[in-house]
Amino acid sequence: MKPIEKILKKIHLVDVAIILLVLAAIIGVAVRFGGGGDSRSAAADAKFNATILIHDVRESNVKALEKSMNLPFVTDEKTSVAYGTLVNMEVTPANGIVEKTDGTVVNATIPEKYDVLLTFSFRGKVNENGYYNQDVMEIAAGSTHTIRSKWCSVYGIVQRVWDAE
Amino acid sequence: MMKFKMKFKKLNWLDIVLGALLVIMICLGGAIYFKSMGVESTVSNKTTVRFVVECNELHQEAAQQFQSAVGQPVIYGASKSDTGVVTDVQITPYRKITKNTQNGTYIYTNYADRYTALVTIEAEVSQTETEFRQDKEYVRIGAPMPVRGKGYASNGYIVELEEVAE
Repeated sequence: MKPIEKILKKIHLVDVAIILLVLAAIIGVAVRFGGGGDSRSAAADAKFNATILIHDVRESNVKALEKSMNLPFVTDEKTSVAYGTLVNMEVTPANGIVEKTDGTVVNATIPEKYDVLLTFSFRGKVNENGYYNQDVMEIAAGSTHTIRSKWCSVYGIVQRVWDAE
Repeated sequence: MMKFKMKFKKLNWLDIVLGALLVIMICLGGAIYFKSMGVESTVSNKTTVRFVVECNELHQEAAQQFQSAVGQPVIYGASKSDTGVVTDVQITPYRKITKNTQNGTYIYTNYADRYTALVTIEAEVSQTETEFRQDKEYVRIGAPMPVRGKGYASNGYIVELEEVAE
């Protein structure tokens, strides 16, 4: 009996299942990050930036964000999953919309509150489907994230995402 | 039982090799995944933080109850496992932002007979690059934080946080 025949005789259903499982995992990873064979395949460890708008926060929160500059943020506090690093922030008085009794709508300043536009630097993966941070969380304009630094926890909306030069 | 024993007996060296390979792949994959996700610096050391929890819409008697907490131990957080000491309590009228739809502005309005308790707590915590934590509760500005002590309990939010100089 040839050695290959010997091995083939020893193969069981459970062996086939394990091989299929491993193949499925490899194909899954390739489809998720490989960009489906497109020329713009996933760039592992790519760098990109995004701005996130934090609306209507107190001055103490603004100061906490200033302290968090150049520090990493996390999304899941139990696993300390890396989100991105805060690299810039612009603070403006908070604005909200008021519908007046005469039917008009005006933009009004909310006293003692601030809007903060945060710029984050990310490491992760980029493909034709989008931008993903190290936690494989998609960073896309319009999506909302609760993000936490050592000093504060804030909720914001992604405004813009772009490749880092 | 017999069938199970027979199936078990049928396992050969190839099954064991493939099984071991699968276990190694899972362990390796998990290790790489969690290493790539984690925040690089997780060195922890002890420090003391002072934070203020804002408890809103309290009735007068409840607010006064909070004042008796100064100097007393306090349990903070939903898990009831983290403790500190109340160092100060400030009681102020409760005010809320409302819209003035006549002239199109936002204004602060005081609620009649409702008060805000600003409870200052000092606690010893561990710190890393991303957190202050004693046991289970993460102390961050903007985070919800229930507080309870002798004769009082309330839900609030952390509005101030600082490290206490040694």
